[in-house]
Amino acid sequence: MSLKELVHNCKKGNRIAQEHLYKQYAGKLFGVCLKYSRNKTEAEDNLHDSFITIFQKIDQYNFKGSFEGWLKRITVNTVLQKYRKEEYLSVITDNAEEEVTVETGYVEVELPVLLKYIQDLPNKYRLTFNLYVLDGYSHKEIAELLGTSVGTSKSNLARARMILKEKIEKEIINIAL
Amino acid sequence: MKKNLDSLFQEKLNDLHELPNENVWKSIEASLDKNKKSRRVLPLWWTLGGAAALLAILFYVVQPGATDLNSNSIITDTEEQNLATPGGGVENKRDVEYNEEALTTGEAPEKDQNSTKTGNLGTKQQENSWAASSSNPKASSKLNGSASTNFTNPAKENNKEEAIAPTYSKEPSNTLGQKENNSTIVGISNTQRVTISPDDVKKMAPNNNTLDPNSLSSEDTNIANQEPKTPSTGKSIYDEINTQENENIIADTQSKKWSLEPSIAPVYFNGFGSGSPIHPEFSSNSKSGNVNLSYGVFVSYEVSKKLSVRSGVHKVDYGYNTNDVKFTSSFTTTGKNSLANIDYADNANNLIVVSTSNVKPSANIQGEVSGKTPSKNGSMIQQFGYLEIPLELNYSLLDRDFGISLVGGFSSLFLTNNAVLLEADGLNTVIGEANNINDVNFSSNIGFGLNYKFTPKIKLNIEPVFKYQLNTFSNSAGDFKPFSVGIYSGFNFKF
Repeated sequence: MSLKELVHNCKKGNRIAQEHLYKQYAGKLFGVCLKYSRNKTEAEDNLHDSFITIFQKIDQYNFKGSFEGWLKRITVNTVLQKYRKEEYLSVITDNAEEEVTVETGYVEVELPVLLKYIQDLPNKYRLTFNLYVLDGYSHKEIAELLGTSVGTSKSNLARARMILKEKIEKEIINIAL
Repeated sequence: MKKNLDSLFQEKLNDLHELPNENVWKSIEASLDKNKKSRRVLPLWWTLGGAAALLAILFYVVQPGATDLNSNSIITDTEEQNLATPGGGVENKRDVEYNEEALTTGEAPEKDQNSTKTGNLGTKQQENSWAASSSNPKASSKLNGSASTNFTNPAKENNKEEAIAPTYSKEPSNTLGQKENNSTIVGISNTQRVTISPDDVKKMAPNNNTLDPNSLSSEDTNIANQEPKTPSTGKSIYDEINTQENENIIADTQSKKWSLEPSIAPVYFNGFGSGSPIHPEFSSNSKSGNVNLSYGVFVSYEVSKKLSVRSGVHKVDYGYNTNDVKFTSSFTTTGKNSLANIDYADNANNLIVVSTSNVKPSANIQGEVSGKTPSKNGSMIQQFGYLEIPLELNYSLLDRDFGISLVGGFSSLFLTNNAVLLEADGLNTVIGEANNINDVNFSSNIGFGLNYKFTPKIKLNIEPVFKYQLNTFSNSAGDFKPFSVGIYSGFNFKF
């Protein structure tokens, strides 16, 4: 079944097509949810909510732009909606460096560990880091999405980087020992 | 070794791909089902309500006007014609040669007779059955091809027809693997459809709508297993989906919202024609409509972006004047001069009302009152108040900040107030109540709406609506056909 047929049938609310679409994209979108959520359970909740929104809004998809990109945007927005309500006092840091490096030696930090570090970040830091570093949003876009200012977004990112850097360096020392 | 922090994460996490727990789909499915049900309930309710109300109108319109026998018979004719057409079509099917065209034209009337949904199912099923029968990949090259070759044999065609026919009525009773002919295959595809009904979707194998292998004969299992491998796989699933989409009528997923609109309107009431509902004597008198007030609340439900249904409750007063009336009092209260359509109030039994437009000033009245209390010229006011329950459709023609819409529907009007008054020199006196006003009355409404959106949730509505009263009076004199025009305005709040 072509993508067009699949979307067409989903628009009509066909359950088989919906399941087909779910199976095709659940892995990828669950990856997005895992990065943006605090843990696996919340990521599953967010995936659920995202797919409900996707099926509700699939009428609005008009085959302009990539379908996967569209799905991903809905997923990111769904997760943002959930977490941006929970406000965190943002700490303004002066050293909002653009580039942060970590001394990794020759040690490889595994994916699950990195994922866990991201998930453990406070909401705004996690969302900002994901949006900026992993999904290429600009600070301006992030400020709009999260309802903050560009300055806050920058400081959130810097703070996120600092926390991650500390954790990785600690982990590397642990591994080395 | 130093590494950029960002690229460290990017390398590992950019294409993160992980399969979620299987329960996630189950809960998505459950949520979708829930949404579907809650969406379905309301439109169905409205449809039934609308149908019931339409029937009620028909009863009132058609029955009391017993003089319109002709129109009744016309309606019956139309129905018969409608019934006859599909029947004829079915007959034709048997007479015409057995080719594909004959099949399609023959099927069409069946769709009409059954619901369109089942009709479509039948057609799709055929395709499926043919697709299934082509378990041999060579034969599966083209559906049409294989179909037409089979149709050349009338015996088979008949056979298939019989096989399809029962599937309309008793699908679940079809058992699998009875015979290895066309009808067996139809049976299988039919069971497939049962298998993929929404409740059972969970049980299905992820890649295919396979049947329960235990319940199939070995050859049938082959057919099912080969489906995904054959080149027609895509088509086959697509067909399945089409079949199912006819079963699944899901209301569109646009957001639907309720809204509330308190509204108020000046309403002008008058009648077409020259009759008088009070007495034929006043038929030729000029009537002038009165402007009264209607107020109440609309509740509307957005069925789609453009269409909304609304109902509500309105209090409305109507009134009109019968001009050129002369009245006086009489000592003889025998009812000789009383108007049959009025139940006189106790203090108005002595009143005599006559028209001055068609009766020359007669000595009769003068004589009765001994000339001492001359008659007064004035007008007679008939007033009625209703509780109005509209059921209207609103179709949006333009939906921006400034919007235009069409409004159409009908109202049920329940009589709450009924009075006939005499008015002269600015003074009113009540004669009594009209006894020919129906307690329940209907009007058909048409109008248009202009609205301005202040916010997405609040808009100002102004709607001039014309309402034609269908049965205000039980025996109206002459052809006084009452109508009203109101300009309804109010703020609409979405919630």
